[in-house]
Amino acid sequence: MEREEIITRLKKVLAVIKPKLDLDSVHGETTLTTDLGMDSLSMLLTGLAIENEFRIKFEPSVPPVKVSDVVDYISAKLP
Amino acid sequence: MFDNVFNAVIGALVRLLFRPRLVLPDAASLDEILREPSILVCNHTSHLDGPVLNTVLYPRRIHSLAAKDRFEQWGFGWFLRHTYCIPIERRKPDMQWIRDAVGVLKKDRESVAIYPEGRHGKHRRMLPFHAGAVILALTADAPVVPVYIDGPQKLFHRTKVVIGAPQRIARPEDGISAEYANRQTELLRERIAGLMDCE
Repeated sequence: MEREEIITRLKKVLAVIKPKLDLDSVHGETTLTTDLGMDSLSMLLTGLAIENEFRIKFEPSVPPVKVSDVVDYISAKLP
Repeated sequence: MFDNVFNAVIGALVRLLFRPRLVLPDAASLDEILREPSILVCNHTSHLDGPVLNTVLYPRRIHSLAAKDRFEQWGFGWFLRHTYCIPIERRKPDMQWIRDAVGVLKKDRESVAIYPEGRHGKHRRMLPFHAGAVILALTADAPVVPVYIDGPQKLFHRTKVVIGAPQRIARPEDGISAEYANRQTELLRERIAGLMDCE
């Protein structure tokens, strides 16, 4: 799966968890906590939604900081 | 086998030393709680909350969530491992506890107790709730049962345990937003606060 497609589907996930988010401003360098204002609840919901959306187990050893970290993780997990 | 005997001994001690008294505002709901796996959402008063719940709802087996770091403590960790507890990471995002709890509810068809305050609250003053219980209920599609324990338990004093009626949390069609989870969590906290004065 291409990175662009992963980002598009990830944005779809984020749009559900944080409906007021400006999705156009989300890119690889966007930070999850500072830029997107994600707290532990949003992170947990995002993890669960990613597992459903991509059919992978989401359990990064280090908590992701940027959107690109999440994309890298998903990309590495996908067949 | 060992765990069954150990928990029977714990149950007997809890009955003898803390004499839990079950209060059911909706008595008809007890059958359903004993029959169907559910998520007991309870204020947190002491380390004995789990054994107290297992005692008042015997024979339904209840798996309490407990801080993962406590599992590493000598003695207490051993106790948690042998009293059906599920570890939950407190200091970083953790999804394994949800997988474990969903497995207990769906596969083992047993119940889970969760203490959304995250640590021990004060008598009749609950701390703010974390939203994990609501997320678990929506993920496992299991009913939540509000519980109020009038603790902390004191030796040879009766401990009142008020158990409300099971309720399912509606799953929004467009997915679970953080705002929805927080709103449902606040409603759940209000339901538990509403049990405080039941006799």
